[in-house]
Amino acid sequence: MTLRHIPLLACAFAVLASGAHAQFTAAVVPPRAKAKVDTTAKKDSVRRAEVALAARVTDMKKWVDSAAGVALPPAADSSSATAAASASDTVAPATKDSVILKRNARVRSDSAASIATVEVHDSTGLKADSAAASDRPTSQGEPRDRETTRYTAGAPAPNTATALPLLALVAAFTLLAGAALRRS
Amino acid sequence: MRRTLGAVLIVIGAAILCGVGVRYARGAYDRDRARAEWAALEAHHAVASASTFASAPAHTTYAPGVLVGRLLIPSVRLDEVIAEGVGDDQLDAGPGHLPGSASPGEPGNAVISAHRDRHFHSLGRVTIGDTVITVTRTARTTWVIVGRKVVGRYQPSLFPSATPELTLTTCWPIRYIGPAPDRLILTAKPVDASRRA
Repeated sequence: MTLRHIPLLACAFAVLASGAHAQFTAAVVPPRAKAKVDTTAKKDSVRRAEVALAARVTDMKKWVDSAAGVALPPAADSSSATAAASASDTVAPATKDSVILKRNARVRSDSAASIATVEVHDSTGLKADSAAASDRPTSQGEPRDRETTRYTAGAPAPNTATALPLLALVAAFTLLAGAALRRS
Repeated sequence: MRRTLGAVLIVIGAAILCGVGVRYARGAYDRDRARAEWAALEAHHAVASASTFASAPAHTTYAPGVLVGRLLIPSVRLDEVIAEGVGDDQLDAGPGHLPGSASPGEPGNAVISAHRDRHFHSLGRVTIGDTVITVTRTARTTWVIVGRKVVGRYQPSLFPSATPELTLTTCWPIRYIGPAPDRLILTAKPVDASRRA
């Protein structure tokens, strides 16, 4: 290589450098505007899905409450309902012929398995017999696990179920297992 | 280690077995005592009816634990004394008369319940057409079984009746291990009744 070749090399570098610059620039610079649109659309779709899910959960809760027959009365009615989130057992002041619904604070209020406790007040303002409230179905749509101790029309048969045979069997198996372990 | 575990299991098993045995023994003792008390009441009633005229009320009510009468089913050799109430204490001693239901022989539905593993163990063999006899202080009634059904635990099964009716209930299946999920309901209609003065 001589001094004559230096201008040729310079021209060659210049030509190659411009081509390389063009390629490098095209490869590095991303289409920013298009990526921004995609992110916004994704956020919108997630938000819409959350809103739809919340609406669906609310509808399910309403459906469960209506199926269980626990209908919250309108505000103008004498009935009152206390919120589920309150952890304390404060009871709203009872009015005549009122029905007070209390939600079990230990259960999530937005859960379909939340249990409603019903207190019935008669026209004197006193709390009525608990037997009257016990006949109401629970939110599971099944009578409460209460024994029939007094005859009423349409009542289920008294609870005569006993676990004594099962206990005797368990005791026998435990004894046999203990004897086998001691023998081995 | 195994011997120690075996000893622990034996102690636990023996304790559970003792508890079950005490429960059954107490039930048998209460049953014998109820029989003796009923025999004394019968004797007292015989003397009283011979000397005075006793008029029975339209609906007899009993205090909890008071003896209501006697239940006999000859086909399965069942002979038990009925006490008022369906609590654990009453059902340990014998069949219990459901409070609020009619007294056997009086107008209305008389409901009698008992445990399937003790006093109503043979109730599963009772079929439609079998004879049932109830003896109370006021009436001796002969019934015939007219209905037999198995219902769920929570299924309504006790209904009012304008005429005398007898309902016998126990758990079902009879040989179920653990708390039985269903109930056996037998209904009977009177075929003969005699007033006991």
